[in-house]
Amino acid sequence: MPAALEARVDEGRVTLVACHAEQFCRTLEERGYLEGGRLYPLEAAFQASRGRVALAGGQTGWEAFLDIIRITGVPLKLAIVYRLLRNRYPEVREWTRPSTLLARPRSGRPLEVLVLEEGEEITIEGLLEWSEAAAKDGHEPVIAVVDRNGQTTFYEARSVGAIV
Amino acid sequence: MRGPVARGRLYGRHVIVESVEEARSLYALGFYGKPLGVDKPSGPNFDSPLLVSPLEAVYLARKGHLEVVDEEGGILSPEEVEERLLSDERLRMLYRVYEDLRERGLVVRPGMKFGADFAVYRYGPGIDHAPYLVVVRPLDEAMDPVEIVKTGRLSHSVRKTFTIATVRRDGSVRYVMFKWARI
Repeated sequence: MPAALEARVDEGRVTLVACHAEQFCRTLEERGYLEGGRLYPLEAAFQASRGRVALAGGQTGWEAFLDIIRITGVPLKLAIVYRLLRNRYPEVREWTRPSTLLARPRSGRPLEVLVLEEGEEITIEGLLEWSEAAAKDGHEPVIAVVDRNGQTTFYEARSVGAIV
Repeated sequence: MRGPVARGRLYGRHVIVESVEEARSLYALGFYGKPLGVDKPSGPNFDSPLLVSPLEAVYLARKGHLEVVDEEGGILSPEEVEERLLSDERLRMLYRVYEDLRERGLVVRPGMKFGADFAVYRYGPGIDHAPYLVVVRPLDEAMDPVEIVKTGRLSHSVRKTFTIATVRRDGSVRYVMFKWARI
């Protein structure tokens, strides 16, 4: 499938150069991924990985994916988890709490995904506070753990006062 | 309140109920203790003394179900039992969680064979299959998230819910329950 969109990535931004598939670009605009000629970097990387976005320098596919995250400074773990979530959910965004993504299913509560990485320790208190804050905002708290092999495991992580 | 159903003697960090009859009564009260020489008791029908863990002994002494005597046969108050058996911070934290679970009517058994602190049953071993594995951690302890994955996978493979329990600064117990999410 040819790239639907050509973009340039520099100074930490991904900018639209040319749109070759009107419907694709319109959908990106409708979902807020393309605004004022600028592409949301995580979405740009995701679309590049599936061959829908090419870079003006000729990079496509995973080469473009890596260029986008490197130049825009997106953490690799976030891009990996974003990609997995976007394969399932139409709308995924970075959320306001550190290292979190918000995935909106077509129905039901949004998933707030805390992206963790092997070797990056978290305190029990930190986990509790995050889980409780997410639930308070009406989100389903989920952790995504990216291990050293790049494998990602997802767990719902609910803080409760009683297990039964 | 009824008097104690059993008398136990301190043996180091454990309590042994030497009378088999009392041992059976205590076990029947809520699956407390482990009959010596019996791996999986099928009920309160064993013929050996009962080994009671430090957490169980403190809980039962506080509830008035177990009278504990020291090595010389002197009766210990529940506070003295606690002082003798909950000798460090980790044990006190484990006790706090144990007590919280027991007070909610759950049956709490050792979870060591699953790599956890407790295996928690709604009804008891032999009746249901310990749906929860509980690992107790200090509030301020940092953990590698991969530990969650490892324990979570093990729990999932034996159809149990992996739970981390912690004790807040106000003494309340909080649980984080992990359920594998297919994404």
